[in-house]
Amino acid sequence: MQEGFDKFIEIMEGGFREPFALSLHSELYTNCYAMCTQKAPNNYADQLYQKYGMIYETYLHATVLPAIKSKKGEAMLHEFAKRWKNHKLLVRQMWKLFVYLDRFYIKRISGLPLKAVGVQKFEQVVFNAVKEDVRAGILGMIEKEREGEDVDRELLKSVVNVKLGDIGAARFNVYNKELEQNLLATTSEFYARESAQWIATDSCPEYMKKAENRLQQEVERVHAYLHSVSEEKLLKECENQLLAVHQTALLDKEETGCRALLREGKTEDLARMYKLFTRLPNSPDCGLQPISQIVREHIVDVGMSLVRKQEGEKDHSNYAQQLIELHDQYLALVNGPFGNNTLFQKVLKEAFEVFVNKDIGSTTTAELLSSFCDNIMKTGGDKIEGEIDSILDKIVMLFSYLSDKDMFAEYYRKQLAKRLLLNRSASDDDERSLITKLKYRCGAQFTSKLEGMLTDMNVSKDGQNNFTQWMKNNDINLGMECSVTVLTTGFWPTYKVDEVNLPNELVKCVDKFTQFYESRTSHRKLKWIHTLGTCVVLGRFDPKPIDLVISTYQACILMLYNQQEEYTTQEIANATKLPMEELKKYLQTLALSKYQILTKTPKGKEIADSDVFTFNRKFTDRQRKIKMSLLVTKDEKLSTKQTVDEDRKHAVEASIVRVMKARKTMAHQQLVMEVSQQLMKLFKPDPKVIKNRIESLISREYLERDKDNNGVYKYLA
Amino acid sequence: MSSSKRMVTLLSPDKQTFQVPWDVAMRSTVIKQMLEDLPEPEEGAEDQTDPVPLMDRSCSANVLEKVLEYLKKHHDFDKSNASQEDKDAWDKKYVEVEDEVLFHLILAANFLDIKDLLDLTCKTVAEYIKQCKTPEEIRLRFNIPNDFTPEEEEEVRKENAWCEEAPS
Repeated sequence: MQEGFDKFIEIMEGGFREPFALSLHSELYTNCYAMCTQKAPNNYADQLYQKYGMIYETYLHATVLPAIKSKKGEAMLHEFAKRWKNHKLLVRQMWKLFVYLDRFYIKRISGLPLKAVGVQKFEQVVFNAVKEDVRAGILGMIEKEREGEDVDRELLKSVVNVKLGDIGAARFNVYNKELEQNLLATTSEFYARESAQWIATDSCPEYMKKAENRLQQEVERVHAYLHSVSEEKLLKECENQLLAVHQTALLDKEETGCRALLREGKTEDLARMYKLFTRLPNSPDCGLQPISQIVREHIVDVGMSLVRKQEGEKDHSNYAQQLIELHDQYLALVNGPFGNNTLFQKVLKEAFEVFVNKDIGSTTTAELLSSFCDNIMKTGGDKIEGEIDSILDKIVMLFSYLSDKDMFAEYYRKQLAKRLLLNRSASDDDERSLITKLKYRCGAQFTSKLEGMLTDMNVSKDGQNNFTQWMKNNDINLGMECSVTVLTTGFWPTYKVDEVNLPNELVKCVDKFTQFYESRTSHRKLKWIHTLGTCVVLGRFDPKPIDLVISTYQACILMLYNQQEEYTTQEIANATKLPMEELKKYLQTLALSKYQILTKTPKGKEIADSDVFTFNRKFTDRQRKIKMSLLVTKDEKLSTKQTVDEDRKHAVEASIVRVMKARKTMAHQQLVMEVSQQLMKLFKPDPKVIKNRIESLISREYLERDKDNNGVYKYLA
Repeated sequence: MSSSKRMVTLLSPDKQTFQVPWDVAMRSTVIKQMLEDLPEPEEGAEDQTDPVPLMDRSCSANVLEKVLEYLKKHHDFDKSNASQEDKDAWDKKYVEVEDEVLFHLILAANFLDIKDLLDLTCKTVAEYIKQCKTPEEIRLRFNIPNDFTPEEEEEVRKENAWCEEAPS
């Protein structure tokens, strides 16, 4: 038997150049079979199994180990890899010869299978003896490769695979213990050294490029000859040394750090930064969070400088446009280089909220944004063809950053009213589209007034047709065209209602329409808002007749001149019943503006009660039709602010009552919090205002203070 | 040369040779393990493969022939995707042989590591035993001398008393 194995090993040493002789194979197998199948006491399975292990031990000790030990460094690794390869073949051949043991004997005694025995022997005899050297050899080669030298990856792969073994899980421990831990340690050391050098000499983008490169190399290395279980651990080690350790220093680099990259819009580098640091776990001073903070500060800086620049300027018309561009720019940054990460989305929002809610001189972003809307929505405004929808989207986006949403709404409502009443809205669709977008952001309550206004306009158009039809049917001729727009109180801004003396022609119109309206609806009161009216009157000037488009009040004044050539201010006031203040303004537009339809004597900018106005027959103009400048409502801004404040009071009260109705009793602090929460969607309520409103509600007996505890309110049904 | 045409020569212990198609011989795990590392002969070249010596007594010419019959048939079955019923029917006929031959087949199947043949033959024997109702019958059936002393037999009966109680 021994003879057979000796011969066999001899062949093996020869490198298996000739196949194992069939006869020898058959003989050995048969012997083995016979020894195992004989009945006791002639059954030698036990001894055979022992012998099997012994053969390895003898062979490994005698031949393999000295061969490996005689060499050094890379040559040693070569020898080691070769010997392992041979050993695997040996085990395979041996297994075939002893296979009968595997089939019966080992199953019965639950022994280690033949192949495993072979591997185990190699580990015990050879591997344990040389593992230190082998490990040092491998690590040495990896280090060399990192330094940029070419190394024999195939060799490394085969050696590393020895460590992994090829019988599965049990071998992992060896790999783990012998190689991986040491590898991680040396890796960490290596990159600690390297990154310390980089951080001292390189700019931030260069550093990142190098780091990215290194990480890529490590991944390749793992794929080339290490085991994939190491990939994650190895990279973590690299990330830690290359990124985490130097993060603060890297981001804060004066000339080239994160701020500089943002300032110079280096999207490529920023994208790299994001990709690198997204690998790290997130914490306040590690990973993406510090970057996002820098981004936030940067956006706030840029935004604040925009706001400050606007403060110094008179004309704010380009502010909204700049704001949109700014937002576009950073939205692109967040969506592109920063991978649309939620952290950065949040930061963008926070940053915009900071400066969008700053006052700009005497005005606010809310107002300017609304004016910007007005400008693109009205006829004759700055048109941006085809992009309106996307611009509206952006406006709504910016709008969502406002804390005083109701302020915007109020401005917007006024401007919308103006557009609608003066027929200057460019597109009904666009109006509706914006309102829908706002509704989507803030809910139906927020836009109900705006929607109501648009609906009023449509209903009025129908009403107008019906009115014309009605007049035809009833044979009424007003001697002029008359169109009336019916507005629902509450939807629209409040307008002043004056008692004035209308010319007879207009009184007739008013009467007839009232008659018509009452025939259709009941319980609805019509109030005439002449301040919003327009008239077209024909001026019979000497050179040529001209159509004058003027407000109702202007018309009232001019109609007087049908009866008489000249009036004093006082006389006009008596005839029209217009308040003197208002009247003077109207007269100014007629007599002192670009179109001087009336002649004032004596001349001068100021209008006195005794000044005389004459109809200027000589007046003429190139155009056949003149649109007179209409009266500007006085101090619109102030009144808007007042309206908003008033509305807020109501909103706060409503909210308090809602909360109290649900809770019945509540402590002051909680109530204030709850109310603030509810109203957050529209504006940031001032706690003082809330307190004020609570007092007011108590005085009106909606609430009362708890008798025992002053800080607690009770709801009174 | 494709393995479907390649032939293997088997040599029985009584020095008879058998030409067997490669694929058929491969059904024995042992023969497969002996041959799998051999280089494939080049296209057109004569097959130089030495005869495979099967040295165990169980593989005498007459038994080996019977084994090969089984291997060939089952090779054909597999190639033609035969139904299980067909196989079972053929197997049933195949094992209708003298006990002596059947026992040799078991040994040969074990030696050559042909799992399905080993299963088939062992199962056949097991069924023979099952048909017997008493130990005496089994002894008679397989011609086994009773080497128990009466005392020993009594002992064994006691130990296995539960067997007798079991409802038949």
